[in-house]
This record gives sequence, C-alpha cells and structure tokens, in this order.
Amino acid sequence: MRPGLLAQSLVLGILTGGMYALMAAGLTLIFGVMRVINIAHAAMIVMGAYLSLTLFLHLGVDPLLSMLLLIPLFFGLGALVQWGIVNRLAERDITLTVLMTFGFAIILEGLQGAIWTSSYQGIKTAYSLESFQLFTLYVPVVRLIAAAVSLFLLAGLYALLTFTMLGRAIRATIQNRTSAQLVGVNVRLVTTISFAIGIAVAGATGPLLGMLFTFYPATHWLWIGKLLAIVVLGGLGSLRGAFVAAMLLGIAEQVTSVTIALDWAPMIFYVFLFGVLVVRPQGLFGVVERQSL
Amino acid sequence: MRTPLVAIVGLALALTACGTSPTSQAALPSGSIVIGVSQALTGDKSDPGTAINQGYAVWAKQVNDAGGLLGHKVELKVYDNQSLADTAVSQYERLVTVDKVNLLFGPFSSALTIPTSAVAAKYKMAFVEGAGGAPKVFERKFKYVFFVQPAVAEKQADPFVNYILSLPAAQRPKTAAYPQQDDPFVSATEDGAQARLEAAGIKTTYKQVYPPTQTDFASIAAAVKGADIVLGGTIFDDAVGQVQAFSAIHYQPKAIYFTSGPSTTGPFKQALKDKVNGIMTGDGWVQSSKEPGNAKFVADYLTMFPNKDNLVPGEAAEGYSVGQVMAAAVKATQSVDNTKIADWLHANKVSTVQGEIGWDELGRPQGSYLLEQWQNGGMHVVAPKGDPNKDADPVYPKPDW
Amino acid sequence: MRIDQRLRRRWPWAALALFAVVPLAMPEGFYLDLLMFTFMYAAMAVGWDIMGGYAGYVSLGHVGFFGLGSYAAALLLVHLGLPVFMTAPLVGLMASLLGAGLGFISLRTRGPAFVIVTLTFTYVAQLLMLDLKSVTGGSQGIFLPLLDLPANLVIVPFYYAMLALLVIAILVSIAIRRSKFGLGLIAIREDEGKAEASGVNTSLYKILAFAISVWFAGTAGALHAQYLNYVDPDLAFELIITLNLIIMSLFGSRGIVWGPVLGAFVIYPLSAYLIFLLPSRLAGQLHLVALGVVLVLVVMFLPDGVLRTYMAWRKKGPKDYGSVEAQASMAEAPG
Repeated sequence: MRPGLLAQSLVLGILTGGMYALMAAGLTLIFGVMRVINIAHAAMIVMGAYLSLTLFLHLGVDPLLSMLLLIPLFFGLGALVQWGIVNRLAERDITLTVLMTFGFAIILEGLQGAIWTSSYQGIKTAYSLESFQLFTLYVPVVRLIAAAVSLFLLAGLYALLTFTMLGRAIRATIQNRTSAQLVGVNVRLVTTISFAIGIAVAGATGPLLGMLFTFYPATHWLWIGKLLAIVVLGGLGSLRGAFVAAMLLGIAEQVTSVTIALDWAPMIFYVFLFGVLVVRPQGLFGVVERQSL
Repeated sequence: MRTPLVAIVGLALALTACGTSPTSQAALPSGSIVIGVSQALTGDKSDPGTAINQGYAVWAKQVNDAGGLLGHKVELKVYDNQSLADTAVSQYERLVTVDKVNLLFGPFSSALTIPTSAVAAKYKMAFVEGAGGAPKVFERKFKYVFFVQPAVAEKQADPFVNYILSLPAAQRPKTAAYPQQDDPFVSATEDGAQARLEAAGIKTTYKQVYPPTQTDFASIAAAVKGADIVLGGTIFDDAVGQVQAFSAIHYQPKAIYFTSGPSTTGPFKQALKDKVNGIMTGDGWVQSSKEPGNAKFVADYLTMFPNKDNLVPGEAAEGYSVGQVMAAAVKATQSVDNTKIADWLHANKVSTVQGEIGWDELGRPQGSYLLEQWQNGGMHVVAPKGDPNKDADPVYPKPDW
Repeated sequence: MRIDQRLRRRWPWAALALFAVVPLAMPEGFYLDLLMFTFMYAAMAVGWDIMGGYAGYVSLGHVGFFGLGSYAAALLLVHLGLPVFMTAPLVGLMASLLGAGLGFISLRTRGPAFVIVTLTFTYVAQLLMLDLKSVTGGSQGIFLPLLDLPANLVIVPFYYAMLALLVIAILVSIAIRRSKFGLGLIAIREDEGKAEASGVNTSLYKILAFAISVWFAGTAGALHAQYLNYVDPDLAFELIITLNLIIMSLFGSRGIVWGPVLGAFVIYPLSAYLIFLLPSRLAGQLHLVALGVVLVLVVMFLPDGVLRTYMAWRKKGPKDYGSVEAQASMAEAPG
C-alpha cells in the first residue's frame, strides 16, 4: 500500500472523528442525566440535515448559517418534548421511555420520507467540491470546516459544563441524582435543559452531516449504530470519553477501509462495541459505571 | 365442544362449494383490461421506481387515447412496495388472487424482480419487466419472465470495453479501477468487463465492493486515484458521490464509466452540473433515439411530467417499452390469456423505443447496448460505429473537472 | 360467570379448528398469505413477550435472529439439501444459542446494555451476511429451490407450519407462566434486586428467557426464507419486523399469554390493509408514521395494553397492578 494513502486516511479519520464526537455528545449527555438511550437521536440529526437542505435550496441559506437557526429551534423542541412527554414517562418507566424514543425515530423517518421522498440527498454548496493541498495530500474543505465547527461547539459545551452554575448542576445530576436534589439542585429543570441541549447539539450536527455525507430517511439507523458504539466505548454519560472514542473509531474506520476492505469498515464500530462490553462494560471513561451497565 | 367444531367444518365446506376456482382471468374482461404493478415508489429505490411507473403511465394514456387495447381501456393498478421484497410479493399475490388483474408489469430492480417473478410464474402470468436483468433473474428458468432491454446485464459494458480496446496502443489506458456497489446487476456487468480488460493487459489497480449504504466516498477516491480509467459499478447516488469525491482530490481519470446513474439524466445533471461532461454509460435508449414512436413518447412524457431541463429518464423508456411489448402480444394473440402471450413472446420480436427486442427461452433479450457519453451538458450516443442513433464521437481523454 | 369461563376455555380450540379448515375454503392466495403472516407475527410476538413481558427486558433485535434464521435455513437447503420444514426447529435452536451468547454479554447486569446490544446486533448480523460474500452471496442473496407443488397449493404447508408455530408459542408461554421459572422472571421485572436477594439466579433466568424468546424468531425466519424462495440482506433484516413485534405485544398487553396474540391479530391485518388504502405515492412513508404514532400512543396512554386494561375495568376494582396480575394468571389458561 502507498504510504500516502495511509496518511490520507489518517487525516480523513481525524476530521471525521471530530464530527462523530459532536454527534455523540448529545446522546451521551441525555443518557447521563436521564439514563435513557435516545434512539431517535440520529433521526433528529438527519432532520437537521433536511431542514438545512431546504433552507439552502429555497432561500439560499448557507448550511453553516442555518445552524444558528437550528440550534435554538431544536433546543426549544427538545425542551417542549422533554417537559411535556418524555419526563412524565421517564419518571414512571425507563424501559417504556426507550421504546418511546424508538417510536419517535420511526415517526421522524416516515415524515422525512413523506416530505422529502426517500431519494438520497446531499447539501452541495459552492465550496462542497473544493479541496486544498497539504504536502501530498488533498484535504476536502468541507471536512475541515465540519471538524473545526465540531471542535468549536464541543469546546463551548465543555466550557458550559465546566465553568457555569448550570454546568455544575448538570454534572451533579449526572453523578448522583438524589444527592444533587439534596443539595438543592432543581433536578427536573436541569434534566429538561440537558435534554434540550442534547437535542440542540443534534440539530447543529445536521447541516454538517448533510454537507459531508449522502443522507436519506433510513440513514439514521446506520448512524445510531455508530453513535451507540462511540458512547459505549467512551463510557455512557461521559463527554470526554465520547470524544476520545469518536476519534479512535473515526480513524479506525478510515484505516480499515483502505487496509482491510471497504465493506468491513462499518464493522469496526461493532467490534469495539461488543469487545468493550465483554472486557470493560463501563467503557473508557465510565461515569455511571457501577449501577448502570 | 362438539357443536362449534361441526358448525365450523360445515361452514368451511359451504364456503369451499361457492369458492372461486383459482385464477381464470384468461378471458377478456367486460370492462377495462387491468394491469397490476407493485412498484418501489417509496424507499431506497423510489427514484428509478417512480420513473418506470411514469413510463407505464405514458404508455397507458397513449393506448387509451387511441381507443384502448382490443377495444378495452387499460387501467394500471399500482401498489407501493416501499422497496421491500416481501411487501412486493404480498402485493403481487393480492393483484393476482384478489384484484384478479388481467396482466402484470414488473417492479424496479433485479432484487425485487427475483422474488416477485416466482409469484407470476406460480400463477402462470407473463411477467414483462424493464429493470430486472441480472443473471439470477433467469437462473430459475421461469418461462414467464421477459426482460425488456436490449441485452442482459453482463453485456452492458461491452460497448465501452470494445471502444477502449479499439484505441491505438499509445493512447490505450494501462490501469483500471473498479469501485462497485454490492448489487446483483452491477457485479455481473463489472466482472464481465474486468475479465476482458485484464485479458487485454490493462491492469487492475483497485477493486472493492462497497455496501449499498455507503455514503462516504472520500477514502474510496483516495485509493482509486492514479488509475487511468474508472469503471464504477454504480446505481445512481454512488455515481454522484464518486464524481464529487474524485474531483475533490483533483483526480482526473482519462475515461470514466458508470453502470447506472448517468442515464437518469435530470437528477444526475442537477447533482453534478458541468462535471457530467465526459462521463460514459451503457444504455438501451437515448432521448434523441430515432426509433419509431420515440419522438411521440418523449413529447408525451414531457407533457405529462414536465421538468425544467426537458429530460426523460432512461427508466421511463424502459417502462414504456414494457407497455409496448405487452400491447404487441395482446394484439397478436387477440387475448389476455397469459400462456398464449408468453408463447407468442418467446417466438416473436417486438419493436420498442429501445429498438427491436426478441427473447430466448428464458426471457433473456438478445441484442446489445449503446455507449453513451455526456457532452456539452447533453447525453449522446458515441458507439457502436454504424448504429443509426450514433450522433457524436467519443471524447477521450475526457475533459478535466 | 360459569358460561363465561367455559367460553374462555373453548374459544382457543374453536379458533384453532376454524383456522385449520380455512385453506379448504379460501383459494385466494392473498388471504392465506395475510393469515399466514398474522400467525407468524403472533408466534414471534408471543416469543418476544417471554423476554419483554415476563422479564421486562425489551429486545430491539429480534429481526436479527429472524434474518440469521433465514440464512441458516437457506444455506442448509442449498448446500446439504436439507428441507426447510425439517431444519426450521434446529435453526431456531441455533438462534437460541446465539441469543444465549448475546445475553451473556448484555444481561449479566441491569441497565441499558441489553437494549444497545440487541439493536446493534441486527446491524452486525446484516453486515455479516452482506460481507461474507463467498458464503452468503452478499447483496445478491441466496435462492432456495421452489417447492414442487401446484401453484395454488404452495402456500398451504407454510400456512400450517406458521399455525403450528403459533400453537407451540402459546403452549410454551403458558407453561412458562405457570412454572417457577415464570414466577422468577416476573419477580425480575417487578424488582430485580429483590428477586436476586430471594435466591433467583437472575442472570441465568434472563439468559434462558432470551434464548427461548428468540427461538420463535429464528424458526419463523427459516420458514419465511423458503416461502419467498429467496433471502437477501435487505429482506431478512427489516427493522419494521422488530417494531411490529413490540407494538403487538404492547398493544395486546405485555406479560399475558394472549396479549401479543391479540395484538398481532389486530395490528397485522390493519397494517397490511393500510398500505392499500393510502395514496400509493406516500403509502410507505405514512405507514411508517402510523406505526410510530401507534407505538408512542400505546406507550403513553395504554402502557398496560388492551387485555390488562379490559380485565382491570371489568373487575372495576382499584387499578392495582398486583391484583390484575393475579387475575391475568388465572384467566389465561385455555383448556
């Protein structure tokens, strides 16, 4: 194999991994505060991609700009759905809540198909096909943008969780709901806000996904599989773990596709997922290990 | 306990007595001739599936405007199978046994044709289809399948291979790459072409099969880069994805051929703009074809399904040809008796917008494809030499993108 | 009350007798096809409920076992010439072994691992079948030789096989419900910690329940492959199958033998007819939306399902879970 090829795949892996990290961040955050796996998470991301595509095609809004609209929109929707529907059920029965998110995923998939048909789509901007040269490698511009935007948003999320009162309350809730309540955290409100943040992050990732990958209504099943592998490998509920796992798997995926075979690359995610469940069920950076996995 | 049992058995026997005998749809109906279709109108094959159905619709409208078939109106009974094979099978069961349609048209793609053709064979219904040409469609030796394209899938890339091998030694490519989707139709075409090119000394630098769900072509492009020519085994979206990924890393192959995709003209051009120029494909039909009836088909299609580029998808022509074939057989046999129709089709050739087509005993068409190339934003027939539809010369090496 | 009880005991047998003679009365393949698939879904849903209802662990991966069952049966037939009607129960056993393995990975502890593993298992199974091209033919799938039967009789053996599968599922479910094993599973659902403290080997119970649960999916998958004479990765692993099982169990009532059966007999025909009623351009999509909406509505407003809600309402007693549970166990014995 040409050494250039390996280098190329490493670069692609790192750039793609950055975006995977952002996609997984919302999922792991929601799990952290609610102990609910949001199976509709990837369907929300794809929804973000469709909305961004529509804004781009009909109003000429750049997909990166449309993120500014999608973030508050998805935050609001997330808060509404959590407060109005999910929260009530989650307090009664976690299992049914997971099934409910499964139902949401199906509804979103069907609606997307009804509105946008099941044709394959992609957001193709003027700079979609541009690339620049780095030594002997060509780096597609959109990949770089996606990675940069992802890192920026992840840094923002990290800062929010680390340096603000709200962030401290969220982390306390993730670590121990009951003691958080005891020290005066309004756990219900914090849960709703965290869920909404998770959904907002999903909405923000939509345009990036749309620029980088082909998407269609049923793609969310492929993505939720990958995202679950990332969050389990990182340790459910751990943002830091999700970041490291996303990088690792992003690189592993690209390298597999050039060294072993293209069609086995998706399997890498599940090899890690099942491997980690057997060897170290709490993942690399498990926060909620003992009681939950 | 005894009472309900006796009652039930009695009831069942009574029902049996007045039950209908299985499928006696051979007689001409008093009303319309009903044609059943289960089509991929939603799901991952919805684009080509919809295009085929548009072809069916154009044909039906023309027939009805001209007074119908044997004096009967034709009516299409269409169900959406969501691109799912078992749904398609259930729907053909329903079309035959409940709706009691007189004739059947096929769905899009070999993957749906393979299981559904067994239903048609079971009820001895002629299964005229425009989009199931993979070898496995014919492997089961059904006598009722008729594939309405000029030739079977393995032969699709033949005109391209012939053209490459006809180039003078100095220009001839030395290496070729075969990135391809895991699809029955694609692999038949690609394997045939690869074997012939390798035999002529053109080395294979890349051959990988990717799943139908592949949405990321960047790493494929990185690995393919450097090959003189690319034979992409594609369906549609992956062809678009490959071109975008190739051009993003400034890879300029001398020739690029896709098994499917470029001939779904409207969406292909919309996705790639002027990057379409130079891309080749093999097809049985081109919009500018001079076959009898083609001009009227194209005009009527554009009236019924207007689009801003005035392009007609190749699948619509395939669907339309299916109608032409069935109409010819019904007229010739003066009946909707499917056994007679099948016998007649095995023995005769039918003139369609894709040219004249005849079938062997397994329903395989016996002609050959055209080599087409996008030039100046339009699709042109560039080979074989001497074909009446050839309207341009091939451009090689292809212009940079 | 007495008549009521007697009726309740007899109706399953009456229904069975009715279904047994239907093929004599109805030559239309489509209706037999509809009934056959209803039996298939009912059997799988009863199986799903052994894990999802009794033990309270919802599986999102039953279609993985269904699909692998299809492939296993196809390969056994094509390479060894073993007829599917013979191998189907053994294929089911293979599914059970695999289920036990997956259970070992994901059921040793409480928590979300089971949901994650079962959902992703479907993808893994599908990817394997797609990628192991030399064995499975990749996306080209595998053909099974056609059954040598007259056209209008081809469906009949499948009809009876699926009916038999449903009867087996109901009998197994009743047997489990009446056994100590079944009580253990329900104890796990009610309070896993307490069950463990009172001496139930919870891991073993859960793994065993899952293995039994997927036997029906694997066996049904095997029969389904021969019915279509064809299997490919798209066809074998449609997630909508898992979705259907969940909706049927929840709608009918989880944890009651007849709940999933009722669910399947209501949901499957409605769902199949819905496709024909909707405008064809949107049918597939709206169908999906409808299934999703039904799931969400049931989860929100009818989490106990139709049967249990009906029984609680008829008793007019306080809607106490435990007492309804007790009635359920008394009410579900057929004969």
